Amino acid sequence: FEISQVLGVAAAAVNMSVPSSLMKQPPIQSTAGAVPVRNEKGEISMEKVKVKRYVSGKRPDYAPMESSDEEDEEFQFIKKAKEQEAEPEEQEEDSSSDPRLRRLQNRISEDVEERLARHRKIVEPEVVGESDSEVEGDAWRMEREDSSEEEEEEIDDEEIERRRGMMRQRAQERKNEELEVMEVEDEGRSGEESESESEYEEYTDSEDEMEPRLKPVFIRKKDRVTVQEREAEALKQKELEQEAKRMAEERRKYTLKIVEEETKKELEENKRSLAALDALNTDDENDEEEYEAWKVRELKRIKRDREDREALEKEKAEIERMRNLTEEERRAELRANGKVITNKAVKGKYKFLQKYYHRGAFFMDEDEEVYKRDFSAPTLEDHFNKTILPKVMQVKNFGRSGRTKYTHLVDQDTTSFDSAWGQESAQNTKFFKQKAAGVRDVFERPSAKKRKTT
Amino acid sequence: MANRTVKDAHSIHGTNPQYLVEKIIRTRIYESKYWKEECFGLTAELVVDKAMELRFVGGVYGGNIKPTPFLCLTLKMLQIQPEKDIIVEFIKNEDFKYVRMLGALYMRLTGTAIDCYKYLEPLYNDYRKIKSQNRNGEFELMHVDEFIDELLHSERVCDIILPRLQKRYVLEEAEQLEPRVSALEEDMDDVESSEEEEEEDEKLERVPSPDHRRRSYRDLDKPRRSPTLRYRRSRSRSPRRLRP
Repeated sequence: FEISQVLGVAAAAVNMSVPSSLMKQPPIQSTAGAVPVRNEKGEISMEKVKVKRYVSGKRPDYAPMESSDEEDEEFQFIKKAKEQEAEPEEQEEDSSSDPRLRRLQNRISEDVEERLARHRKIVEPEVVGESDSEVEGDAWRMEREDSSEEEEEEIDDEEIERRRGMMRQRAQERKNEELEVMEVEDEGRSGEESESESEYEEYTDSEDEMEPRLKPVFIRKKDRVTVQEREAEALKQKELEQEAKRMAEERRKYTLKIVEEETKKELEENKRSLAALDALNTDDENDEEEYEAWKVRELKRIKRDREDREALEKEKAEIERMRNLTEEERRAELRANGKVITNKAVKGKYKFLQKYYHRGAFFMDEDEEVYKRDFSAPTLEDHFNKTILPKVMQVKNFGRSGRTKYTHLVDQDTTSFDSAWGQESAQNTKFFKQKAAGVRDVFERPSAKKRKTT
Repeated sequence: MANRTVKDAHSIHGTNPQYLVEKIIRTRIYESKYWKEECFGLTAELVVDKAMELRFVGGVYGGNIKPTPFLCLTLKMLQIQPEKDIIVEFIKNEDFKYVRMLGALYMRLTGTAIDCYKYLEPLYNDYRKIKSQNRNGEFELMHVDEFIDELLHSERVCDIILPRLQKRYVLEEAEQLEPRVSALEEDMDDVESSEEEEEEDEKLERVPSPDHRRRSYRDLDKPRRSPTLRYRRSRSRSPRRLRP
């Protein structure tokens, strides 16, 4: 009951139905496990899937009721354990049921020579106690069957005896055959083997009671399969090694060739460059020409030096002159000549929250068109108007980690324009003109002597 | 061990003298065949012998930055740091122009500004032709005085960054140097003075005589005397020059 309860709970959890015979449950409202089911009338309706659990040891529903193998097996498993010791020696008949036994019984004992003629070569190991083992095996099998059929059939003891006799006969025949076969084989072999054989025989004789074993037949060393295999392996290994050596040699030769080629190339290059070197002639003996050429060069150098010097002096003079002018004259100068700025770029207007790109401070000495472009043109996100955005989004780098609310300096100004000193009153202007610092053109140092007492 | 600077070397411009050559080029020199074969265990004397065998100047060339023997020997000299006298001898010798240029380069790298001007400016008068190898491995013709000019005015010679050299006028103002008087100027002066004095006779006399003197010197590739220098020596008026 508990188990069924657990099952019921599990079923409820998994939404499966449980055979209602076990437990009454309220119907689960769900169409999850619905399958189409045909009822008696032939109509198809969707019903819940009825899942039956598999329990090991119990026959599942889908398994057929009657299966002879299964039952026998089961039975045998149980029965053999009980009756194994009870009836070991029971040799039962009913050989007809076993085709192997039938075959054996029906076998005609034939001539050895005929048999030999049939087979090309008989080099397989012969079973010693073949008949015995077979008999025992049969007995085993028979015993099992009989144990199963014990209840069904009555077995005659006479039958048993008869069968036993036949078995023994057959065993004898087979032994004779073997002996003959062995003799035949011996003819082709040396004497040593017979010795070993005899030894083997003795060995086997002493251990006859054990399980049937194959009689070892001596095979010449050159015929032995295992030895052959090993030798083949060894050969293969040697071949592989040779191959490897050959490959290594080839590779070595190849690399040597490459090295040769490379050295040749290098030599060629060296030769070429030396030839080029020699082609140039520095032994021009024409002194006149050389002197003239040198003269020209020297003159150029002198000129250059002189010009440099002059330029320097001019600059110094210029600086001196500027220093000697008074302030007004300087201003007049500047207005007249003006400062020459190379690569003067147009200063454009920046939109709201536009990103500032610096032009770069280096390489501004050379005049170039590229430097004179307008660097304040809007790019990427600057194209569209950010003033219509909500205040939250009016930041630079919106959404990214490095966002800033800072817009421009004036925005950061916290001056209160309502303060008393900021108003335009007579008192304020008077103060500004007379006493305020840094407003007038005063250039004397404040001296310690004059101490105004205000 | 083979690539370390000699133990008791002075530091040049504040660093190990070998570091005057850039790291990459230095490594390439260490790995080059010439360095490994020829420059192993050289002393000052042996460097002279190797320098006499030079056939061209150059820095590095080729796609894989191969150094020239000239550059290798320069690095070797930086490594062994020979005495100043030896370098001055290198510069003063007239027979081997590549030895001269090697000495000049070394002087420019290691010497003070005054030394540089003092020893290199006389070489302005050497107008012999030299072969130089450019970056592509091709050879070009050049002159010794052009090479000296490069040494004194440009920033990079033979793929070595030259240390900073004070401007000449700075030294002149500090009165450590005299303003430069070129040989040509003297020539011109002489020519002019001669004109003033003796019209054309002397001029005719003067003009061929320098040529005549120069012609007597032959330029074989190895032992070649610099004629102008000789000439210069004989004509120099300043007591201070060339009488160190």
